Amino acid sequence: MKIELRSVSKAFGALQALDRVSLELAPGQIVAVLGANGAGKTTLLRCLAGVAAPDRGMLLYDDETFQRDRVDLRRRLGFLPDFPFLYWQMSTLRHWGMLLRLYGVDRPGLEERAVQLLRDFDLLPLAEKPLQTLSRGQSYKAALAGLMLVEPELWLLDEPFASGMDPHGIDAFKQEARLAARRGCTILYSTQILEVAERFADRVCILHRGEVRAFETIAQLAAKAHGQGGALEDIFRQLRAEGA
Amino acid sequence: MLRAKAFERALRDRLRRERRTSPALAAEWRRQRGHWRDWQVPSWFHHLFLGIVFASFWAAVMDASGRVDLGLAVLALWSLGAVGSQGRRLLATLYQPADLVVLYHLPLTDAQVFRLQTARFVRETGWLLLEYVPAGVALAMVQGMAWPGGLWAVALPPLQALFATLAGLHGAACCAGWLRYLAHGHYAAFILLFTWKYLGEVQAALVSVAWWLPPAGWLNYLYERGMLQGDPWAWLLLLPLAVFGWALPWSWQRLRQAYALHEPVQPLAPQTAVSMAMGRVEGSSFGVTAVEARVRDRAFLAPAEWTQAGWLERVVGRWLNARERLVAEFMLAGEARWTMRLAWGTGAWAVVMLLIWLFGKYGGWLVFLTAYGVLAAAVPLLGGAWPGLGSCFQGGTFTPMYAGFPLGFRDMARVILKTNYVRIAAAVPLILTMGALAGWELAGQWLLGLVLASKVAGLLLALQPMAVLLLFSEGSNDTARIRWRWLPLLVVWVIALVGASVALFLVTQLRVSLLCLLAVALLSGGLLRLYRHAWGRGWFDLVSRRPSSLGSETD
Repeated sequence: MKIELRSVSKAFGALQALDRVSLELAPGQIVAVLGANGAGKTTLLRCLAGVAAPDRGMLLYDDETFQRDRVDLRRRLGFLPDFPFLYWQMSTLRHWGMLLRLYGVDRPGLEERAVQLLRDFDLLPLAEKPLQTLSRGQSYKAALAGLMLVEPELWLLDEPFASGMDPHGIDAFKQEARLAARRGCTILYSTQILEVAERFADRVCILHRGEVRAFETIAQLAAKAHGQGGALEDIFRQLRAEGA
Repeated sequence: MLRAKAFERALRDRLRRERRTSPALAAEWRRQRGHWRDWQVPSWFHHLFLGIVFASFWAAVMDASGRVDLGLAVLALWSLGAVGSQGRRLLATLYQPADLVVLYHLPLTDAQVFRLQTARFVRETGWLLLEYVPAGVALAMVQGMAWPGGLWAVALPPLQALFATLAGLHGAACCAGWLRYLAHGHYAAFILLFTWKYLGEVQAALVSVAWWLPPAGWLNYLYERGMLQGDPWAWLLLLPLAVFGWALPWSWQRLRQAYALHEPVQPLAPQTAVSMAMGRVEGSSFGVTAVEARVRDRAFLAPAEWTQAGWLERVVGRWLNARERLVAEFMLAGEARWTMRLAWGTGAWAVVMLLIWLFGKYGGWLVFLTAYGVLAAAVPLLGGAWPGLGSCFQGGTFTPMYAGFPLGFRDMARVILKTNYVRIAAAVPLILTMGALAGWELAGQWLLGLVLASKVAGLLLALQPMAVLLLFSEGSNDTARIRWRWLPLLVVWVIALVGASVALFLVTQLRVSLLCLLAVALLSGGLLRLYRHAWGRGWFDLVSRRPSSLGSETD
């Protein structure tokens, strides 16, 4: 799925959360969205998912204008906020069943894939337990693996590395995300951890006070690096100096 | 209380000084500062405002009717509602607040968190007094401030607030699932407040019933009969009131023992909070092999069996198409209990019929109360409750559950409308019978009652699109994002809607009544269509500052 943002702006009262953001994402990329707290990362993801709506500008998916009532386009994306959308009294399996049916996914081999994901994310013994009895990390894994089972073309993940997942879960997520990107899916995630972004992204988008300050490949950023801490740290130090 | 006010004050002063010295910091502070439109009305103001409005109408009613006992009946019903709301607020404070996520990660035991949250509940109960103090002043003014009635009158409503809180606590500990029904006392109080003139015999019956509503009615009886009229037997009511206080430690202990804080991923839905308080949350004990087998036989992908549910669910299931059935499953998040609720309403109706047959002359108030009870229990008066419209906590704001899934407004609205039409249609025989009976009992004219009941049923059906709109509105920031150029049109539209609804009850000709109903249906449907357009085009966000309450439980 080709994603294009054309001069997207979004304000909450006096706060300009997104300010004329323009981006173009080709399919099959992993993109890390970085920025200080309040930079507009979550708002950007929410706009892309249709939860929030831009005040100005346009969102295009495969050159088609995206609006909240375009359910056909929304079926091609999956949005996972930091606290996922879950019915807490449901079990993981029931949640997955509901999710798959809502997305209209019923391909052969689905059950084998479900078992594999349950194993990879250590959810097999917990699959029938109510989600409210799981820990935060476990419930996040249940929601994340559900998204992987659906296999949407665009993954929108808000702070997956601060979701309480254990190292094994994070590792499984990275592997799955890379495979999905190879299949042509686009993975857009927000994070605060610079090392993660440098190692686990094809491109990095840096937001600062709602504006895009950098949208480059890791190689381009590395070429620019002249400090000791790496390119991203340089950029953040510079942004902080601007604000001081 | 986890606050260090002196430290906060010192820090605030320091930050102010920093801002003065750094223009960049001052600019960023201005950028982050909220807009006046984001300002929220503080809780105490909310209660005080409600208290003053209530007290004004209440005093006017007592003044116009010249009857204090009527006013006390209204107050007793209001306090019954307060029992429900206080009990639910206690459960919400213990199990639902967003700050549980923080408290869980602090080095605090469950018992300490329980103490903190209950202290918070007690503190916030103070605001409830603000709701009742104006009523006390109003009552004293009506009584002429003479000793002893006038002076005690000031204290009576706040005392009721106190006992309502105690009763709410007992309710939370013993019958949490029933609390939401008690909250209907508020609506009943409003109905009596605004319709007392037209209630005839029912009014007198309601007043006599209201004496026995615990604990507010008992306090009223003590005040009116014991204190003002000097009836010594009235003081016997001090005994059950003392039991309320005496049983307090027991209920407190019960709540405390049931309180165990699981890792709070996010605030619980109200019904889950009730289940937690009742110790009803259970896990499943499937082994790993059994789980694998269940996945492999694709049991988890099976749709809900509408054909094996109750008859009402079957009728709805037949009317919905395949996509809508799927959407309904999501919106319900479990079993629909419409048939059960209608059966409950029908059972209550049958019992009342029997009582009226046995004790005919007291039938008026029974018909009134049951009509309200049956309507509230069996009919989705405010659009019904849909967990799919309930809130999901996300970083300080709340987003409706459906926003995370590829669901369209049209699908969801159609499911709710179709379901509600079927449920209301199924309850029409009850409404009509009740109306006819009420007409016969109250005025000796069953036809008049039947006509009125038909109008109520018609209005309920015609207003459903509006009710659906309000359900969606609760999970969004539509009012903050309103487009001002649309406001005059909306105001005119709503005035026309209310006007047509009122006119329906004023006119007597069938044709004009039907025209009024048609107008209500068109205006209500038109509003829903306009809202659908705004929803689809993103005129507002699916984000709210408060959790949605209407859609959080299934009924």
